[in-house]
Amino acid sequence: MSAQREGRTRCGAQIIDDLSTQGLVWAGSGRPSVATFDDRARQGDAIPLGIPEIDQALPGGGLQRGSIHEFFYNDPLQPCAFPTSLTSAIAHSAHELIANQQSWNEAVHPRSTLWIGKRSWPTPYTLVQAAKDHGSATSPLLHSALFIDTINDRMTLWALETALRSPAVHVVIADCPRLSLTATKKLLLAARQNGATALLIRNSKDSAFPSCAHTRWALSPTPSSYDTPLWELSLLKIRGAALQSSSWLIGINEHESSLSLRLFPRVVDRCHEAETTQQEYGT
Amino acid sequence: MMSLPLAQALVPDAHTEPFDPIRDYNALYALAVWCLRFSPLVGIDHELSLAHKRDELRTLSSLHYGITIDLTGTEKLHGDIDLLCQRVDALFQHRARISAAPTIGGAWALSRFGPHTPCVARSIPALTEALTHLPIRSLRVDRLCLERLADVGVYTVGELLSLPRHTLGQRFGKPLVYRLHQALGSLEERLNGVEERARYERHRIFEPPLTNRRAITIAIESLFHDLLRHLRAEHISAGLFSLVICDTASQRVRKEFPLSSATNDTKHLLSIIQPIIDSMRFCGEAREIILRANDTTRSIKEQKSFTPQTLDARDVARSYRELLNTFGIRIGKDRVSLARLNDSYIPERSFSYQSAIGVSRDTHDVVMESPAPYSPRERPPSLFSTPEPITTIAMLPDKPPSCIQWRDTRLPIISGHGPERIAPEWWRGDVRQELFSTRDYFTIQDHTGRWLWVFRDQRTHEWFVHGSWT
Repeated sequence: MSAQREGRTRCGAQIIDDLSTQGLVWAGSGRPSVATFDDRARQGDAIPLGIPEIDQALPGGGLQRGSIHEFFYNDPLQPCAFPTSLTSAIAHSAHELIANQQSWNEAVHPRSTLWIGKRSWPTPYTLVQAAKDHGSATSPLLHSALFIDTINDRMTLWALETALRSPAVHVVIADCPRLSLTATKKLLLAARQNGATALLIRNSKDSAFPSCAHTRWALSPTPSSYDTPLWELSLLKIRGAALQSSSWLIGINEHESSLSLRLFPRVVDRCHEAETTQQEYGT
Repeated sequence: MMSLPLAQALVPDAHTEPFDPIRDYNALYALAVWCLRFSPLVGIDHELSLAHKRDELRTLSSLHYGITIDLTGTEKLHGDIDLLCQRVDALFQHRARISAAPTIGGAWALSRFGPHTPCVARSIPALTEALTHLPIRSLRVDRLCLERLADVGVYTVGELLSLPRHTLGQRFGKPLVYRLHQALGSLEERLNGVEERARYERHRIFEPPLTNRRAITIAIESLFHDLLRHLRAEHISAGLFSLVICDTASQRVRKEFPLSSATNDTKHLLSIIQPIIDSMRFCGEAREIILRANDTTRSIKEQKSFTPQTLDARDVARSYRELLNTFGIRIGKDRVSLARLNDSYIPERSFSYQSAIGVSRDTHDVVMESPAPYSPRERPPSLFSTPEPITTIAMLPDKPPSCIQWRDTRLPIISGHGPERIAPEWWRGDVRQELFSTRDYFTIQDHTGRWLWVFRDQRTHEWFVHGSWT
């Protein structure tokens, strides 16, 4: 009798499993938990960074849409500096992603890209460079960009949350104040509502604080003999995946007229090394 | 013309008030609406409403502040025209100049320049006779035409009528012939009619006055619900809501909510306005609360998306408008901006920001005359709003610096490019040239790998950091 009941239960569980893999049944209680949202978001696509080597290392092939990503720019002399090149490149590839998906009538009202906090504003020609389509003088990214200047941290946070909740917004790039774990959770739930992606630029002092971000990155300038600005990009944390290779040397691709980033091989400066060795041994 | 101090010296107890043409226009419009009791067709001068539309009321002649009543078909109602004129004259306490004529142009001339008031011309021949002695100005022609006529010694309508009619257009311009024909009735003239403006207002009087803050906010919310329900029923959306709270001492707290796009959506509006109401300071007690909706436009009924999950282009457009409304009110109109590129080589002038509020994104032109001809390595992605001064060690005349001191830190430079000379735009007359002198720009890399964009001012030989590659 009990074996029969067990078999029936197993059968029922199997049916529910089958249905849920087909997306017909939702697991979870009335209150939305972060876990169920994760499953939902996984079905969505990811925003590629435009550097194939890094995109391959990320699950889904890029930054998860409908979640938040944190960047720590580490430059002691410019505490207010902002990774403008990288965020512009990401904003551009995010814009291209929806441009390929949307139907013709959506092209009239593209979802906007928001820059919140005056320090985060890139120079407008950077956006044109990022989206430069040879042969046309219009820039869809600049067309869809909205720049918001906030007076204090509280207002920045409010604007960030409001923007993430709006269906008209696709990507929000914000100069982010210090956040508590609860605040990032709130932002994450807001971002998932309509699949908006938040790129939060935070002070590198705050990197020790926990947050709900899907990925966390650190970026710092690196001296090089290449004729282009280079940065050391390291992936500090990624949710739900094991870190394989977590540090890259990236820079502005000097062979292209548009703004694109590429991976640079690490060059060990043998001459410099030899010099220091010589100095150490006093020869 | 007499100056105000002179006038006050002559008449010490004269009452003076600054000239406010908008208020005058509104008062005249209200008076014209009041005049609808005499006839269903009442108008104001075409020039007046045109000037109001173009915001040129200050330069408009005071002759154009007039009301025209179309009496056609209402004679039986009023009895005799003379009687009506006297009645209107009495109602205006004998302060208005009144005339009645078969044409609008004729009535205009007689009322402004007629020998007496009320001045009545019952037929076209009588009107022509009456117009003969009036000056040319009574025909509503411009100053240039008046001067041309004065050159040949024509000052009155009678003298003008004696001239050969077919040459008038070529000699003095078409408008003169046009106005003459309108005055004499051979050309039809349309009345620029007024209509009663609908007022969308809700008010509530409280006896005894409300003292509880919570009660006041509930009352305001219910007024909003009430007004918006009314607006939706009439298919009207409003772009400006004004709230007035009066207390027992007749003091008023006034708050306006200017929106960037008109709405009649209660949920959206309350989501914006609620935090503002919560932070408002009310005077002690509220005796009366008045809520008005202005800047009304006809709302377009939009069909909702059939499937609630998918996002329609209309939904995106609507939520974009709602987002701008929210940001515009909470953050401020000037703090939400769109960027555009300008046709300039000077870095700080090559782009500008303009407020996104009130700009339709469909018409916002982002098509540049020439696309930015720079590669990403020529111009930095972050440009400082004001260049920061630095001290450098550099070889003259055109070598990049070998060492700079910036923000109290000494930075050895390991590589550099340049110079790129950017000269002032001498071909632009509208820009003050002394604000910008010739600059030599260098791209330099310091020992930590930081790339900076520095320049030397060619006039003062001072060095500045203008941007960085971040």
